[in-house]
Amino acid sequence: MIREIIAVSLLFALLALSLFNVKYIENKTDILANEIEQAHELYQNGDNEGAASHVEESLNNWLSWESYSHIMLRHSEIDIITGAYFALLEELEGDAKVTGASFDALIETLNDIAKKERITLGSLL
Amino acid sequence: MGIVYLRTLIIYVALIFAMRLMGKRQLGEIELSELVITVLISDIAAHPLQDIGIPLMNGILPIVILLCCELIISGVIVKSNLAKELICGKPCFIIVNGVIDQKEMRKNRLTPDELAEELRGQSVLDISMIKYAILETDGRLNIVLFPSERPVTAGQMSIAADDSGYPVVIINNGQVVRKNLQICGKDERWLQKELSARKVSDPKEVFLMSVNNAGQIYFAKAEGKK
Repeated sequence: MIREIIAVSLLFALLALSLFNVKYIENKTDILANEIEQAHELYQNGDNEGAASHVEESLNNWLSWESYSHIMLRHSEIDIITGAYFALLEELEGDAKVTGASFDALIETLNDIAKKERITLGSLL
Repeated sequence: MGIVYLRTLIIYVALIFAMRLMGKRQLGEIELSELVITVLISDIAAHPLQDIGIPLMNGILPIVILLCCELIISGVIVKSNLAKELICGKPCFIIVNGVIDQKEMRKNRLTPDELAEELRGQSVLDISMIKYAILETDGRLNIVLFPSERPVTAGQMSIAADDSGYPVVIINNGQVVRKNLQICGKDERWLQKELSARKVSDPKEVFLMSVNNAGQIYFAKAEGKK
């Protein structure tokens, strides 16, 4: 009986952890996406340097999340996001005009991680 | 992580259901839930090993969930007959009084060839000798012969049968099993004496040596040793 109780408890604990993880990823990606949105606003107001430093700060924030992301996320997803950050930074530091699409693409990629983890009928099946 | 958790549960229940529908002959002497666990774990564990891009957690989490499910299900099966019947099914009588129940055969996807093969495996060639053939929940076919076809026992013949007891291995592939030596109440001196009687000086020259309660010794010298 003890073994069954431990198994049921473990199953519930894992369910709770899984649900907590969904919320955690949502919060974290929301923070990162907000940082990129703020950078976008700064860029639209003509503050190129401010936007670049905001994106860099957000990139550092993302990279500091590495130990968690490497355990919980597919490595291909991590590479895509890191690549999108560097691409945006390169655009901001270059001479060419940066389009809103670059900011939106990074925000979309970040939201995608949370979306994939969100428990919906579609994602389950 | 949440998706992995729920997907694992869905796949587990779906596989149990599918295997249950397939019939008992798909099983190989393990219970249905154990087979499902075996099939799933071997596959799940392989993915993170083959693809280092997949986090190990995606392999470990389903395995822990499946183990918990298996523990819970096996616990429920022990406690509830109804649950056991629902999850593992119940034994089926394939032959009753020498007559094959064809409906049960079809239900369990058992062909006459397979039945004949199972019977041959148990040295039964004539179906009319069989009182009952029962397909157990783990897929084994157990046979009960008509009393007139069963081998005569010493008890029925009123003969006193020798009980030589359980043979204990004393030397296993050249290694003396000292614990077993103690269990059967012998010592190293006795062993040396027995080895000398068989012209062996070192236990390493022995492949297998066992002794039963009656003191009868089975001795096999290792091939290729002097």
